[in-house]
Amino acid sequence: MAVVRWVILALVTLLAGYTVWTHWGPSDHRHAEHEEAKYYCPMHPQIRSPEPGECPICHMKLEPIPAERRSGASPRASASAPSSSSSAPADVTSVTVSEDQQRGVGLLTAVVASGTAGHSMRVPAVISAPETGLAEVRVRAPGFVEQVAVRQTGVHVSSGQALAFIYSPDVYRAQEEYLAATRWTSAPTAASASTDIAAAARRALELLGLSSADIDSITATGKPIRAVAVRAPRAGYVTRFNAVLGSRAEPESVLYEIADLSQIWVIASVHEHDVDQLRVGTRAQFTSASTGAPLIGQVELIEPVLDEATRTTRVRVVLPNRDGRLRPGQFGEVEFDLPAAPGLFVPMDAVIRTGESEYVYVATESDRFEPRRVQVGAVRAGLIHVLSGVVEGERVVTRGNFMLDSESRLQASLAAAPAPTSGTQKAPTGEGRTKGTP
Amino acid sequence: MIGWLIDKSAKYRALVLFAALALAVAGIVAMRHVKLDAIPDLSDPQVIVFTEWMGRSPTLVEDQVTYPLVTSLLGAPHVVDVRGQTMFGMSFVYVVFEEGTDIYWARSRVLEYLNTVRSRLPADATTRLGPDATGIGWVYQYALVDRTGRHDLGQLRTFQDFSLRYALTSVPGVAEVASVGGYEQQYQVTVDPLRLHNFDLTISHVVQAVRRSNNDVGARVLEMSEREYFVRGRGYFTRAEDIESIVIRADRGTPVRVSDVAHVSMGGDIRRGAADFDGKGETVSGIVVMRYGENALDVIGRVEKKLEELKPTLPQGVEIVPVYNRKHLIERAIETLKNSLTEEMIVVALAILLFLLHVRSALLPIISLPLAVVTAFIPMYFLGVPATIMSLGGIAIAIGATVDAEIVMVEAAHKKLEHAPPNLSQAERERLLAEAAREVTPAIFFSLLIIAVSFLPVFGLTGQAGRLFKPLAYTKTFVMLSAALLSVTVAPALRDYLIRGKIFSEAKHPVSRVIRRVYEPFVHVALRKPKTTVLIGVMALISALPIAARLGSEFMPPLDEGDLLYMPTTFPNISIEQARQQLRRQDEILRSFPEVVSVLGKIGRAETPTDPAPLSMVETVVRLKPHKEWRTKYVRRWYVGRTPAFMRPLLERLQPEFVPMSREDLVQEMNARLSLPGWTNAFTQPIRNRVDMLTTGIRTPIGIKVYGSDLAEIERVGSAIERVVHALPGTRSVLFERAAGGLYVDVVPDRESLARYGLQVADINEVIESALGGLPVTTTVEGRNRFSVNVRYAQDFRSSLDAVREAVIALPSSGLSAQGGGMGAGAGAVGPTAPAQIPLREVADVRVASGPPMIRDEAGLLVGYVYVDIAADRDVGSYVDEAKAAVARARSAGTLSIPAGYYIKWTGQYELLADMEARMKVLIPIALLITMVLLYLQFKNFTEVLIVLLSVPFALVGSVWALWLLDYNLSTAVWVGVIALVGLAAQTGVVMIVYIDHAYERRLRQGHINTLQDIIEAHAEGTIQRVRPKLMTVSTMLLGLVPLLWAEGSGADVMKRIAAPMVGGLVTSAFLTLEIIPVIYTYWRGEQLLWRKLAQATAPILTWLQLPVTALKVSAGVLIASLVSQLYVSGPIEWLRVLPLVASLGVLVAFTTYVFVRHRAKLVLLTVPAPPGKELTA
Repeated sequence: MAVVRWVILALVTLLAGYTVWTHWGPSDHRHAEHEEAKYYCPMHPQIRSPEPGECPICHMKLEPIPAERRSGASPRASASAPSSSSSAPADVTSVTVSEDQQRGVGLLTAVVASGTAGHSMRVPAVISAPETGLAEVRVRAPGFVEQVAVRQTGVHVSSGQALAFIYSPDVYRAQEEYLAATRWTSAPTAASASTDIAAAARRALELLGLSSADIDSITATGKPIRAVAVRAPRAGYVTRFNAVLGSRAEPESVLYEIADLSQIWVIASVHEHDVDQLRVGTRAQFTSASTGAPLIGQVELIEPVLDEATRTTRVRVVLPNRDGRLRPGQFGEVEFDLPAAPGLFVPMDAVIRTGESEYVYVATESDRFEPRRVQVGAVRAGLIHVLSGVVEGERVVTRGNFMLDSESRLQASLAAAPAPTSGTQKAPTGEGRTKGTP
Repeated sequence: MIGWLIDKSAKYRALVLFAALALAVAGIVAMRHVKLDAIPDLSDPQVIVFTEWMGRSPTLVEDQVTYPLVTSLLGAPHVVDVRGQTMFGMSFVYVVFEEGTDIYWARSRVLEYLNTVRSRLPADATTRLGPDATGIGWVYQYALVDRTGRHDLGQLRTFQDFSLRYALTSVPGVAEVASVGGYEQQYQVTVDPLRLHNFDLTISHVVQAVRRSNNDVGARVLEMSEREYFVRGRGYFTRAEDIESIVIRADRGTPVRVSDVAHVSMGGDIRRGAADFDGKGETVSGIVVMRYGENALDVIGRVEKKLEELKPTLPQGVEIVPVYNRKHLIERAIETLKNSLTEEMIVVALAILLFLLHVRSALLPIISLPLAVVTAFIPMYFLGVPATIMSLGGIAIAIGATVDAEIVMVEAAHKKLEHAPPNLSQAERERLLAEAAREVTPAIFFSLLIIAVSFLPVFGLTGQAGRLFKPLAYTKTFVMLSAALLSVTVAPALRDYLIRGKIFSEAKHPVSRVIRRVYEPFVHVALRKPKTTVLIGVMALISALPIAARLGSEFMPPLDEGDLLYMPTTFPNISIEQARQQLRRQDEILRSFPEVVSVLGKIGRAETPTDPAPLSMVETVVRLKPHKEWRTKYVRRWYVGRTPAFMRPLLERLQPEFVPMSREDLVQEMNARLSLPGWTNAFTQPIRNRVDMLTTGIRTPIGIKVYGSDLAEIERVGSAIERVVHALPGTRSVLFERAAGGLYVDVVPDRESLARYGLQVADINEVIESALGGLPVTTTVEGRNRFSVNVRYAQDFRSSLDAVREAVIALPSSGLSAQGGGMGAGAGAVGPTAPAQIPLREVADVRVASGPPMIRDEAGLLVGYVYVDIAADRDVGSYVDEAKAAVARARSAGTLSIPAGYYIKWTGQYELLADMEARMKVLIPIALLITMVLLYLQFKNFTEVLIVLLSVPFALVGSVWALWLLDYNLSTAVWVGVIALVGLAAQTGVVMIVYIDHAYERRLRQGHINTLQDIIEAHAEGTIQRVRPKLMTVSTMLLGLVPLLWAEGSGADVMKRIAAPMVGGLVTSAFLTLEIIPVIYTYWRGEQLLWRKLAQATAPILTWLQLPVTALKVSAGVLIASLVSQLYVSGPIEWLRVLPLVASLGVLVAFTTYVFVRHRAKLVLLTVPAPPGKELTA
């Protein structure tokens, strides 16, 4: 039995020696060397440790850092990336994403292309009757409306159509004078001077607004017309009429207003800032409720003044209106195709804006993506003008951007730590990734 | 008194037995009605004040909602902490009350204070109290699955919100049913700003028109022909067409309707969460949240019944699929514990049978064992301690010790009866039995009390650990107390009935004989070669020390919940669309595992104040098949290719090549497959996660809160502190939690331009709010359903920064009075009278900015946290002092400037730890003192008390070894096991000493103790003769715990961590107490003998022997006192630091002096004629 005791003693002593050696002895140089952090807290990626354990903040179990994240964040990999430090935005780093993972996030890229992608501007517009197609009908001598031929607005009249018949004492007298004059000239005793008188009388009638056809019929009948027709000076729509039967017509008052709508004006109201982008001749598409397909015209005139009340400048587009479907007063909108600026373009979704910088992810290899700061210009139809940062032919990520950016930030924050055992001095990212622990 | 109780119980046994029966019945009734749950609720008593102000950015909500709320609630009584957390469109204010505050009392206080503050909140912000529940109350979750594809998400959500939800909320015990996923249906009026412009309208005209067009009114009654008719004006709109036909303005009979400027459709509201089922696409899900303190199992049962009832009312083709059900876990956990309990009882019973080989006698402990357990349920029921893994675990770890009293008593009775004549009269028998009982029962009663008392420190645990382990401490104490009570009442009452018949004498008893044969030589060798024995003990102690120092630590031991929770996180500001796609992708991958039953992905938050998850966080519940149905994995065994073929089947049976995958294997495989860029994966479990998510403040040992009024400034100060603290020795990690990361689009009005146009900021804000954000204008009432009506710009006019810049603002001169765009060509002749509107960019700057995605608010100030974790071997208290000094130095040196109005506060777990430490400082000495007093009452000798306590360190050696071998970390569970072990170890020591004392004193009385050999023989008799009762008590305790170690399934892991140190400790303490205590004891008795002899010889050297002993006692006392006082007295008193050194020097000198003098004394003794006998050789 004594032997058994000695064996037990020996065993226990050995054990004691072993534990003291393993746990106390070499622990000094274990502390000395900085082991690579192999575990991190999924909630707080700044918390890293070379050994498994719990996160001091949230007590979640530390998870192993995936190998690709560690390698991706290693200085070797970032040094090999052809990015100069000035063009790389802060807090992000180049990332490697396998093609399988790319499918997982639905990653898509697009080529940076030089182009002249057009840009358009939409503004509200209203149709108005062209100023060039307006006509007013007035009497040239006071008179009385004896008969009204066209007695409502909105009807179409053709050029020379009689609109109303007006008895005017002045005109009547002029007719009689004219008839008298013709009678003298037709008489054999007529002298050549009398021909002049007749011609003068005829001119007087013409100046009073009688058409030559009417004068001819007077000449033929030899009787003055009591109520002379007032004729439409041009074809168009009656937009106003003031010829009430029996009323007195004065030259001061407008009897009819006629608008020629075979062409209409689209008046677009363009804000001060935008108006400089327009030129006479800029293509314009007009859409309104009645048009269906947009009508295409071009800028005819940009008004030189700004409407003070509306703070807009009126821009005129002339459109043909043969079927009369465009009606003045109608609302619509005009889309101007602005002059295309040549330059590099990427899809709008490619650009990440953080408020501090704007950057894109450039695919340097099939599975490696590098964040690159860019300067952007105007947006044109889903494309954004890139002033600097990328060159033509490079591929930028257009979809799956968010996940890629997150991965990049994650790896950047993993790489940012100094010694893993001594905590994190500066952990710029991963901010806000907190659980509900107020 | 105890003797009296035992005697009386034996006398009035019918009465006692009847009382016991009644107790048993009561216990069973209590057991049936006690609450059931998986783990105790770990949340603080807290009230959540939840405010929704949809669409507002965090900073805005913080300023207008959280700040006023937090400042007003600060003053509420019994409030410990008010923490605000502001997210996009939401504000959570957590009002944490003192522990033990009644939750309903707390809620009414919060309501009182809310009343006063409500008027200061924005009118359209809705503030309400969260449910009387926490995230831990998420007991049941289901998904609405439409396999026919006939119902869209909006319809499912409507059904969930307005039918299912209310039906389930009415189930007793349910606090709330939270909807997640799908979208809330709403009428969306999408306005075309160009058309508005044309009609010279602004969006506020539309808003007003819609708002005024949706109401029902009542106008009392009309009386006609002796009847009364209720008058009602019916004006609710119920269809999109109704909204379209609303007139905004009429101009000479020409109405401008909503349909002229806008498109009305039914669509989804803005979402802060989405759900996905099995990766098949979005779904609608509901979470049943249980009320505080409810019986989870009952609540789930009622919910399931209700769902069954509701089945016929579901829309056609729609199914309710449960995706999480805590019932299974509770059942499994209770089942595991029940099995363990049963196994324990059986094992203990078998052990008793084996040792006694007497069925009738064995019945005594076997009857009292379940009785003790059942009785423990009565106080549980009355104190409202629910039956959880923890409380049942308390019973489980107590079982081994409960029957000790009975065992010892029965054994003593057997011993007495062995020597009795066979034809014993009944009265004689009873006298003998009573004598046996009197001899041993008080000692064992005391040791049961010691076991109960030694658990006292567990009651001092605070915070989550306290909530977790106090139930365990309660039940364990209940069981121990009831066992102690039964041992002095029911056991004596039963013994005369049961201890009868033929009884094996120990000498003939086969088991005893085997044990003796092995044990006897050991004891003899041990006693003769005491130095090696002591050396073994010392070596064992040394071997454990470094291991103990290196054990890892964890907050909470793992609990296998059976389900998985996949919880990846990404960066803030993920869009809902992207979030949805990613979620679906993840779920698809998860679902492809054959072990997975269903996957319910949730990204963002559920509509409950108990869920503050941001949109960047996924919480996917993965239901797993039972472990048996999992795939197997191949393990290359050692025998492959090395053993002949005929042996293979046998070996394969022993060590199969294909073993089922473990949870870790599965998680690892999932983790590998789910390596998606931009996500950090985490796998946890549903309850565990809800515990982690509980808002408990800073969980690092130290936290530094930086209070201030400006986030940027707080960040600057926080980073500076980070640098200062980082340089301190002992800092493991330090981290200032930066609040940035959120993205904002800022619309900054240019006041100059505004002035030029005569606009006010409100004009712009109106446009930002309504045109871009969309305003809920009104709510429709359609039967039971309620839908909001939202007016905003069409997508194209608010989808990019440029579009936002183009949003138009009406100039004040324009308005309804201006007659826009005339109807006739006359006006057209001079051009349209375009309404005066300007784009936003004319008067405001629109830009992207970064800012906080979430804002914290505490005590009415914004706050940033610096988390500090320190090295394990660093003392928190001194570290904090040093860190504070370092910060003060940095401030005076100018490297750290804290602006006026800003201040920092030191907080963290160390407050809790300090609090706990303070409690422990009182409780542990009290426990120790009571233990010592109890021991002293038993032994009436202080040295013996110390020898008994010697078993404690040897027991700890075993627990450390066990933890090391099993690779368990130090957690509170382990500590609880260790504390439990202390009592058990003391008990084994007591039993040992009691028997040795018996043998020694008998011989002493007979005058047989004259030489060391006599002592050794007496002790050998005490140890060897009475090895049976000792082994019985130890082995029942041990065997009672072993089933916990091999238990599998939910809840087993926690129990294993409690049981492992106990089992390990019992093994070593059994071995070492059986060996070392007799040896030490022999030393002590040997010295006593020497002294006695010297006294007989009247040798003057005795005084020289007594002197160093006194010196030893004094210096040891001083040493202990000075060490202890250092724990309690703070302040650097120099001489106090020197004292331990001086005292230990004194101990050393006294000891060497004693050894030297003793040597001389022996020589002296040799010269005087000694009584015949062997020489003293010790």
